[in-house]
Order: sequence, then C-alpha cells, then structure tokens
Amino acid sequence: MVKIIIFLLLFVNYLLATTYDFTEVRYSDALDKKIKFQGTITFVEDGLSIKYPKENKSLTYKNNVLIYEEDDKKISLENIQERKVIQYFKILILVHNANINEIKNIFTVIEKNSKTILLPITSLSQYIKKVELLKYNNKLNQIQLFLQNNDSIKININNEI
Amino acid sequence: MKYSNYIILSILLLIAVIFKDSIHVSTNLLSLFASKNSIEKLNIADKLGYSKEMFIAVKGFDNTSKIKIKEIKQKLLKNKKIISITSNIVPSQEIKSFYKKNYPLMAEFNNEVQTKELIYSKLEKLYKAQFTNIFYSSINKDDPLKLFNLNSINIPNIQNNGDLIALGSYGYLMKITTTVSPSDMAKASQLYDEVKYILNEYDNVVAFAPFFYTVENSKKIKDDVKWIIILSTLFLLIIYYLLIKNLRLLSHTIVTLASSMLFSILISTFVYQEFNILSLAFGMSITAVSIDYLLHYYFHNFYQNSEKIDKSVMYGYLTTTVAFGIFTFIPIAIIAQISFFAVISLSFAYIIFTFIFPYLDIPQYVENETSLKSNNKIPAYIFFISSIFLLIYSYFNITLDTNIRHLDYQNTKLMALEKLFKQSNDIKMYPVIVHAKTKEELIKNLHIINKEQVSSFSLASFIQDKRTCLKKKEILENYNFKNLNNIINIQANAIGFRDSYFKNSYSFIDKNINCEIYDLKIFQSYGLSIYNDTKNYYTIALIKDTKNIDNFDFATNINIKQIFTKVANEMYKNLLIYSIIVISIIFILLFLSVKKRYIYALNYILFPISITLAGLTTIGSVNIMHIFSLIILIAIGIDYGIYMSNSKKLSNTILAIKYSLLSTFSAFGVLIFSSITALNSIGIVISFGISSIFILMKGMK
Repeated sequence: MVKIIIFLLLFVNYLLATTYDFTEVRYSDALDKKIKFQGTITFVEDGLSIKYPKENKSLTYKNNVLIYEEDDKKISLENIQERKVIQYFKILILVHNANINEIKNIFTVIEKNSKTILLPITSLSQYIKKVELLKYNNKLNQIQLFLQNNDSIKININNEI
Repeated sequence: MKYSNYIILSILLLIAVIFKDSIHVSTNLLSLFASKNSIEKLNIADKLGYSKEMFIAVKGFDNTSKIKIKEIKQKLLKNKKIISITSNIVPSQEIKSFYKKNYPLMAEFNNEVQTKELIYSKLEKLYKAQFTNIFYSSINKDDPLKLFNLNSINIPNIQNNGDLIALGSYGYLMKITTTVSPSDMAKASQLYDEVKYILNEYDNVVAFAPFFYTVENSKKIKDDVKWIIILSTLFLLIIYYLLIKNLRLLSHTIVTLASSMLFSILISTFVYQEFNILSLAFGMSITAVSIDYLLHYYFHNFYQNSEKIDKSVMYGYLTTTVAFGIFTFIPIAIIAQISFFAVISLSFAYIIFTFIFPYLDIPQYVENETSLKSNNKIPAYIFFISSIFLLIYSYFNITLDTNIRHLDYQNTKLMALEKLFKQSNDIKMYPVIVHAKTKEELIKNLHIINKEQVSSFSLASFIQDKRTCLKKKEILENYNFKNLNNIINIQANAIGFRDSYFKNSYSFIDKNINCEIYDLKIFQSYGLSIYNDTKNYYTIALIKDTKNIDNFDFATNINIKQIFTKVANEMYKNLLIYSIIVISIIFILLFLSVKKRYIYALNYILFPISITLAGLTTIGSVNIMHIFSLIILIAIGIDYGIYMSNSKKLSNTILAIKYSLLSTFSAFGVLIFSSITALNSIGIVISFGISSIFILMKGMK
C-alpha cells in the first residue's frame, strides 16, 4: 500500500511538469499490425490536451467537453467514439492525479516488481482487460492498456519538455 | 325507572356484544376523500410498486461511502419485505442477455443493398482509419459495416457516479423496492424499525420512503390525540364537578352520551359497509353537542315541571338534525358518514334527555342571584350588518387549500428528506397507468404514448409492438447475411485485414427471431412492473407532460397531488351546493321557530360564521376541515339562537349556554392545541365560533 502511494506521488511529481513527449504504439488485432504515433501531452486543471504535430491533429478534453481539431479546424466525433475517447482520457487523468481512493474505486491494484497492474472492477471491464503502469528509476515511463478485443495501446513517456 | 338510563346502556352493550362480528370499522382514510375511481387507480399503482419504493443515500463519493452502501445493501437484502435493491447502473445479467438476444430487433437496421464495391470502400475506410485516426477506434468485428444502430436508452431519474447511482452531489444512492405500501400500517411499522436499526450503525446515511409518513405521523397523531383526550376529559370534569357540583347529573350524562354513541355505532356500521374510524371519532364528538339539551333542561328545571316538551329544545334539535340529515346525501364520504352518525346519536340523546331524564331523580337547579346585567347592549341589526360585511370581505379574500396532504401532521423533518431525494431528479417525469386487455395490446398502447412523447420511459423503450416486430423480423429473415459475410471476408482479405477476422460477422442475427413478449419481470429494477387482474394488464409509463394524457382512454394519470386537487375541488363544489341548501332550510326553520326575533336568532349563525371566515381568510387559506367545522358551528348556533330568542328566563338560558359553550370547547375547542392541521383547523373554527357566540350573548339586544 505504502509502496503504491510513494510510487504514485513520484509519478505526480513527474507529471506536474505539465507537458511531455510521448510515443504511442497501438496494436490492432484486426490488422495484426502495430501503428506508431508521436506527440505531446499536457495535463491542465480538469482536463488534458494531446497533440500529434506530425499529423497536425489534436484532442483537448476540459470540463467534460472534448474538442477534436484537424489542421486547426474543429471536427465533431460520433457519439460512441466521443464517449470512448473521454473514458480513455479519464483513466489517464485518474492516473495523473494519483488519487489512490479513486483508483481503488475502479481498479484492483496489483504490485508486481516494477509494474503496477490495474484490473477494472466496474463496467470498464467490458472494454478493458487491464492497465499496466511501468516505472523506470522510480519514474513512470510506460502506460499500457490491454483491451477486451485483443487490441492494445502502449504509451511511452519520453522526456519532459 | 330510576335505573332506566343504565338499563338502556346495558341492553345496547349486550346487542353490541352479540353483533360484534358484524361491526366493521374501516381504517382506510383514503376512501373518505378520494372517489372510488381514484382509489381503484391508486390501488393498481400500489400493486405496480409505485409508492412502495424506499431510498437510502450515503453522503460522499469516497471509498468509505462505497463500503457503507455495499454493507447496508447486504444487510437489507436479508429482509423478506425487500424485493430488490438497485445501487448500480450496470444492467442486471437478465437485462444483458435480453439486450444480446434482442439487439437485432431493438436496433435500427440499414436495409440498403451492400454491393461488393460499397463493402470494399467501407472496409478500406475502416482499415485506413487505423493508421490516420489519432484517437483509438475499435473495429466491430460483428458489424463492421455499421448496419445496426442502437440508440442508448436513458433511464429517467437516475444519475451516476462511476457505476454507482448517485443522489445529485450528495452521495451514493440505493433504490429499494419493498412489499410495503403506505396504507399497510403493521408492515410499514415493522420495516421502518428494521431499517432504522440497520442504519443506526452508520453516520451520514439518510433514508426515505412514503410509508415513513404512515409510521412517523401515526405515532405523532396518536400522542397528540391522547393528550387532547386527557385535556378534554379534564375540562368536562371541571365543568360538571366544580361548576355544576352535581355528580348524579355527571354520571347520567356520561351514560346517556355513551348510549347515544353506541346506538349510533350499531346503526351506522349496519347501514354503511365501510364506516370509517375518522367519521366515528368526529361523530362521537358531535354527540357531545347534545349536552346543550340537557343543560337547557337542567337550568330551567324542566325535569321538575309537568311539561312534556320544551319547544325551544325541540326546535333546536329538529333544525340541527334536518341540517345534518341533508348532509347525509352529500357525495363526500366523510361528511355523509359523520352527518348520519350525528343524526342518529343526537336523536337518541334528545329522546333520553327529554323523556327518560325526568324519571331519574335529577336534583333541582338552585338559582344564584348573581346574574350581571349590562345596559350597554348593541342592537341585533348592527351585528347582522357587520356579519354581512364580514361575509363579503371573506368572499373576496378567500383562498381554498386543495392540497389534502396539508391536513396531515406536517412532518417537516421527513418533508425535507423527501425534498432532498426528489431534488436530484433534474428532469421531472410523472407516472401514468396504462392498461390493456392483453400484453400485446399493452405494449402497443405504450408505443402510442411513446410516439406522442418521445422522451417517455416505459416497457416500450425496450420492447417493440408485435406489428413492428413482425415487420422487422420479415426484413431480417429476408436479408442474405450469409452472402454479406462471404463478401466481407473476401474483401477484408484483399484490403489487408487479418485472415478470418470477420468470419462471424452478422452471425448474431438469430434465424428464429421471436416476437412473443419476453419475461417482463426483468425490467422491475427500472420501476417498470406489470400487473394483471381478471380484466386487464397494467403497467406504468413515465412521461414529462401529463396534460393531454386523458385523451388516451387506456392511460390514467396517477399523480397523487393532481388526483387530490381534483377531488378537493369536487368536494368544495359539493359542499357549496349542500351548504346553500342546508342554510336555506335552516333559515326557514329558524323563521318558523322564532318568528319575531328572527334577525336576533339568525345572528347566532351568521355572526360566528362571518367572524370565523374573516379570521381564516385573513390568516391564510381555508381547508376542507375548516368548512366542515363551520357546519358544526351552524349546528351549535341554531340551538343557541332558538334558546335565546324563545327564552322565558334569560339568565338561566345564558347560564345553560355558557356551560354548553364550555363543554363544546372541551369536545372541539381543545383541538386548537393539536399539531395536526386537520384537528387544529377544527379547534380554530370552534374557538373562534365559541368566542363570537359569547360576544353575542353578552352584547346583543
């Protein structure tokens, strides 16, 4: 328990740096292929913003509103799509805020060597098998989501900006 | 003859013992106010679980609150009076399998022909999106072409925090379905104690159920009535013993009142199938008015005279019974029953006081020469004109209270809790009962409402009507999903999807689609029950606007507030009609009994009523109990008006009326100390009335 809190606090300290680079690798079971994206993530109060400079696309979630922009133009998403993105962002915000009570409300937390495994205990389990948090030098450097449809999303945190 | 009074009571008691099994007194207060039709509606609503719900909320959204919710839920589920508890928005296993089985029927289906080219283009778009979409988008391997689209069903009045149901920003909420309806006192009291026992262990937990009012208010009413009976008895004893100082008179009066009440109980319960306990209580109080007759006889030494009948008392009795006699025909159960009881008991008491008491050796009244005479009396016509002005003032200022719930004990603590639980419902939805001869017709009717009010929530939100279902079934059965699956797999391979990834696409469409009505019990957790009697099937639909619901002959509004407002308005209308008839007849009878001093006698009715009405309209609104008490006031006023107009010895009549007023205050006036609005209203009217009669007695010439 103490270990988890210390780990999360360290993680918070790291993330409080607000903006950092990341590499995202998605595995698509339908394609049996890995797809790589690179971008920056910024945590703001009550939200976050993810930018993919190469594609000139961005997603901003603040005060329960999601904005998707392509080439600086706002584009509306399908309802289902939007709900899923918000759900995904909420998980990222939850891990960032390191609210252990909140996390334990939704996940069973398992510590395994340098990994922290979060197993969903709510309706999230319909979509997510598990979330793995990997730390290096006491700093979180990888988040991996394993989805029920055998897809996965791996986010490597590269460096603080 | 000396003991005839006791013999009569003994005979009546014997009859009561013999016929005790056929004396039925109803405790269903609803039947007194609501029409038979409204009661039937509410009974069906009761069977559908409406008003049998209980809510428990735990403050906060932290882990401790979550644990509390879980623990309380487990403890409550052991109780046999609890049917189900919903604390989670995740659908039950039964509902999940319902969705799975009925998905093709529930979802909108794009029936367009899917050509090879179209399929290729759609799949290619899907493939490319995986590389270009910066947000993750999953591929639905069952329906890659998105031919089916199911709009999510919003469960009304439910907010959530994570997976758990929330009560606004207060905390977590549990919705509990019980077997207890608010009218079931014994069960309500039991479950109330059991729930309170469990919740006592926890801090920051609040609970509410409609039956809590039954339990808490009935305890409060019992305490209140107990205190009022003690107070009333004390007053009566003081009057008889300390003022009249005649124990013999006291015991005979009590025996006569008991006999009159018992006689009336026997007759009333024989005539009415459902004679109500409240009517009984009121009727017994009105019986006390007959003490007027006795006091008039006593202070005028009637029992020592050779006269057989005192005309003043006889006219007083006849006018009162005629007034109540007319009210027995009013289509308001409570007033009709009370009036019937009053006619019987007052008649019985009049006969005993007039024809039996002369043989009971009642001691003679010895006069005291202390009567005060005042020369500064005001003429009767001044009181008459003032009364007319006060009545005009009341007419222009009167507001009628149509909320019958206001008559109950105002349980502010519970009302605040009810408000807290209702506040979280951001969109107000009102229940209506929908009925039909068959289940199929019931679903069809629900869809008719749904068409009119798209946001309505009912079984129609989940189940299609048979015609639509059969049409959809035909479309799905005629669609070549096997061929579609083949083309998808070939095209997907060509584009670069993993081999056989879509091998099961569109295989979820059941070949044997069934349009028979599913087991509807599974929707009970959403408050959508179904009930059937020999004639009909019934269910509840929640709608936003109940205004036009009466246009559908299969739908009935069960908004209790609206039902009672309608009932109250009808009551006021009937009361007005009957009051006009009664007052007109009283005017005629009064004229026949007093003739020359007509205005003088009439003031004993008009002045108390106008003063009371003006007072009530100035303080606030007038309720049904105020009006009914005004009728009692008329009954009292008639007697005094006749006695005073026809009095041969005014000082003795005044004395008789003084004691009579005191005994009336003991019976009704003490109700002013009650915290129950219904009783307090009677107390206020009678106290106002007694005071104004006193003013008339002392100040009118």
